[in-house]
Amino acid sequence: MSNGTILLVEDNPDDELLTLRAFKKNHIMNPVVVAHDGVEALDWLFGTGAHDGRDTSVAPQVILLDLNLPKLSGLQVLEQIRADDRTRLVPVVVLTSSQEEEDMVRSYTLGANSYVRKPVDFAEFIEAVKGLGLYWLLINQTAPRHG
Amino acid sequence: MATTTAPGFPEEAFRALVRAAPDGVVVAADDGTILLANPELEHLTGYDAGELIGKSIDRLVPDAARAGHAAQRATFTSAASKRPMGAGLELWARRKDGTLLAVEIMLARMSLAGLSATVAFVRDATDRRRQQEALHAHQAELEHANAAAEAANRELEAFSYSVAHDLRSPLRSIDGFSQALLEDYHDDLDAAGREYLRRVRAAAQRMGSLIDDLLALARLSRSELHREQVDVARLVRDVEARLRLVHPERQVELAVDDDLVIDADPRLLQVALENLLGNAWKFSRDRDVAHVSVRRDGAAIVVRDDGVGFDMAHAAALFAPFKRLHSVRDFEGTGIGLATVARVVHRHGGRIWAEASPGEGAAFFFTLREDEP
Repeated sequence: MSNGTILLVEDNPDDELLTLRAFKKNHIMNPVVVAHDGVEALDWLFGTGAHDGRDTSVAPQVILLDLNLPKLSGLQVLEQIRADDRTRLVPVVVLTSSQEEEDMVRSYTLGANSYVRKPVDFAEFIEAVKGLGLYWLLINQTAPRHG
Repeated sequence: MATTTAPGFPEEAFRALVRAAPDGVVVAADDGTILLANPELEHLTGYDAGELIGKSIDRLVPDAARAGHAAQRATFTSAASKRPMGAGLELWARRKDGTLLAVEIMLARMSLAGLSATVAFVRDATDRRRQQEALHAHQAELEHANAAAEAANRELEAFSYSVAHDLRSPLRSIDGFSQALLEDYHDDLDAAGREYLRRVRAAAQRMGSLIDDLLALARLSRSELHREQVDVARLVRDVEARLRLVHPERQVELAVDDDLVIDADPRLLQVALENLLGNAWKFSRDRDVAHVSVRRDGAAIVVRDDGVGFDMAHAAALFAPFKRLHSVRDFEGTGIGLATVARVVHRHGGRIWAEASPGEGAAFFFTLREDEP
């Protein structure tokens, strides 16, 4: 059963809208939760603060994480995601806005699984999730299964 | 070793020579007793020779240096060689009136009537010391100015980096929503409306590559230089392979000197060659068969093409960012390529210059080390 939630951590409303549009346009029907800063993302993931009491037993299928966030930076968020047993294994795709950031992610050891350049180019995003072995999860919402 | 004199040169001539010497001359026995002092030494120290002969050399040594002087004298007398005294130190002599005189001293061992002694040649170093001090002050000033310039540069680079970075975000929206309009409202727009949006997207994407190039330029300036032996021919062939892949329709004959191995940062040199060869490819595209070469020319490497060239009257602007000698209509580009090459060259301490004429092709020369003085 693959109704895995996608957590999008993005503070720029334009980028958020463009990303959601790309999902919709490409028939990705997974529920998407948007967190607008690092604190909100962690609150949602761990059922704290504004999301106090949320059932955190099911982790999101994938997290799309922007690096330039208010309050907590994307890399700080990533660090906490990797430090907690509930989210340690959740695939994280970092959203970068320059080659500079790609270099940083590439050399970073905190545990990003992949990165995609903003705005989310759907072909690139598919490559990234394919690389994570998650392609089936996103695509079988709409397309007939193949193999 | 015998002293050589012309036949008939009288022994007293040696005495006259010491008297006439433009340096102060003082001879001291190994126990420090002064045996001889010439008129120039009298002039320098303010003593009459009679006040010195038979006295200890210590009276010419400043109070502060006297304790060390005895020990050093012992060391010198046991290791007989000509040498300057106190190499690397500023020496002072004590005058009769107690004032100090900046001096340079050369020492030599000598044998005098079976008595071993040391002769010191003493020269007034006041002017030279003053010049050195001025020079040091000047150097310190320069270093200070350099440090300030470097700090300002770093600040500017950090600034341009963050500006370029922040410019990306609105640009993403412009391009992204234009695309959304084109795709989602395709049928609501007529051909002219769609064409306008395509132009908006093209402009946004062009600005995107400008920003990319600027970021790359800033990154070049910030990264450290790691020199190693680099096979230039191999790098050139790598770049060539990529260019041929991107421009399969082009006929370009590329000649490379095979033995070009130089000391450089391979990553930065690759960036420079990508830009120079990319330009050579681009500006020779009207030739049926273009000719590009990478050769050694003295201490420089020269990248030459037989493309459209340019008027040397405009050459001064070549290496400044955003300066272009051709319109975007004729040749695409951001105007950052040669600025990037120049930055690479300057990071290596080298020089870059060009030779060209319209219709005759262009040649870019660069060195990757400071010129031999």
